[in-house]
Amino acid sequence: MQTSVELLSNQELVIRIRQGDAEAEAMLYERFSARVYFTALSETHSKEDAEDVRAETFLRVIQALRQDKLRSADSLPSFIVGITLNVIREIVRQKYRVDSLEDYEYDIASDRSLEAALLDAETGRALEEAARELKPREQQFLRMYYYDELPKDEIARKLGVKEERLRLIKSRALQSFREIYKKMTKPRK
Amino acid sequence: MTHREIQDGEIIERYVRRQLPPDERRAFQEHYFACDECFEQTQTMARFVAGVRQASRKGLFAENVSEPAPWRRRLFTPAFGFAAAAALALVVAIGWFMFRQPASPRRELAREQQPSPSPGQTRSPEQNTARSASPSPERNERPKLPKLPELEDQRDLLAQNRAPDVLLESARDTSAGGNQLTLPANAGSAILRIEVEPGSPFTGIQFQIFDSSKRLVATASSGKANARGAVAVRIPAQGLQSGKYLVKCYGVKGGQSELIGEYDLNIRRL
Repeated sequence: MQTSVELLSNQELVIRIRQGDAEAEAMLYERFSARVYFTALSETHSKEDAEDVRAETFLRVIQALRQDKLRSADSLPSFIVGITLNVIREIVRQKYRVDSLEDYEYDIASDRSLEAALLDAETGRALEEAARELKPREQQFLRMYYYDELPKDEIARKLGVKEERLRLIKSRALQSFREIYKKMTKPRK
Repeated sequence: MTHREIQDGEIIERYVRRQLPPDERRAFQEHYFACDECFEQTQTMARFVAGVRQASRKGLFAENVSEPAPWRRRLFTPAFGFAAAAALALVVAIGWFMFRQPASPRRELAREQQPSPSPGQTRSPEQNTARSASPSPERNERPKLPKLPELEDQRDLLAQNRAPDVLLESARDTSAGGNQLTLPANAGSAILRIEVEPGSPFTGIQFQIFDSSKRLVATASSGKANARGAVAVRIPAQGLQSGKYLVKCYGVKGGQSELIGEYDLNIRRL
């Protein structure tokens, strides 16, 4: 009988995996795969590295669960984060010869790689549509804040607006983008 | 990490923009592994920021910033110019009118009482003296123009407040002991300053402060350098104890960053 992944708690997943349930393992992957991939991408800025991290992480997690190495099912998310970050460190150390993530200064080109990985067609279109609802000064704020990375007080001074207003602009633009993106990516029935 | 802390600390945005110290970063990662809503918001924010940067790079956002003119430049706008000209004309008119009037009622009265000299008759020395003896107080008084206050650079204002500050210099430029910063016990913040090359292309400078264990303890960002090439940022002093720190400075332009300097910093907490 097919059980929906949302219905099984972490505890039930852990128990089933310990019993060798392959379906539970697939469910575990489905539940945490996006998080592992996103975390790896945020740290490495590389799609290829993020996919390697994901594969290696789940290999280790499932092996550990089969061998009953998890003390408490409540700590399953934390357990997976820990393994994810360990795998990331190993890959970074192996590839880039640094000792810690903090020492790892990914090169400038990898910022573009992260953006490319995060940007799908819908993101670009949703952003353009959300931006059309903004006044020119509000667009300028977004550019100065996220692209030029200027501090808020300087932006407020340059645009002649109060800092509190900048917070509202940001919040409105983000909300608008979220709604448009959701509409664009909603699965069609 | 609670949702309240996440909201108040703008954790999601700071995570996406890599502005969290390592321990907070890890704490938030653990949170979103267990929280669907926060994970969804984090992904949305990451896409949003990536989208804004791409749109900015493509020039899809409005470029020109019509910065409100500082008060000094506002003086020379046409509207103010007309007003200033009218005021000046009025001052001149009033001044001319005042200087043209008799200096004092007494002299006027005296003049009325004295017969005016007939043609050919000169005034007595006393009359001349009386005429010139007491010059009009108004005649010597010049209208006082308002003194224009000096325009202060915002970064000078920053430097003039009471937070302890230090100008960071590279190892070869500092005396033995490196850069020193003394923090009083009640110091809430400190100011770090560096000097960059004139004409620096960066639109901002990001400061990262690492302790002796190479842990990132504070970050701060500034705008571009002022005309003198000076950059200053304020950092919270709470997490800074006595000890040795490393300050890394990154020039930021176009969403990309470049390491431009590293500075040793010795902090002494009173």
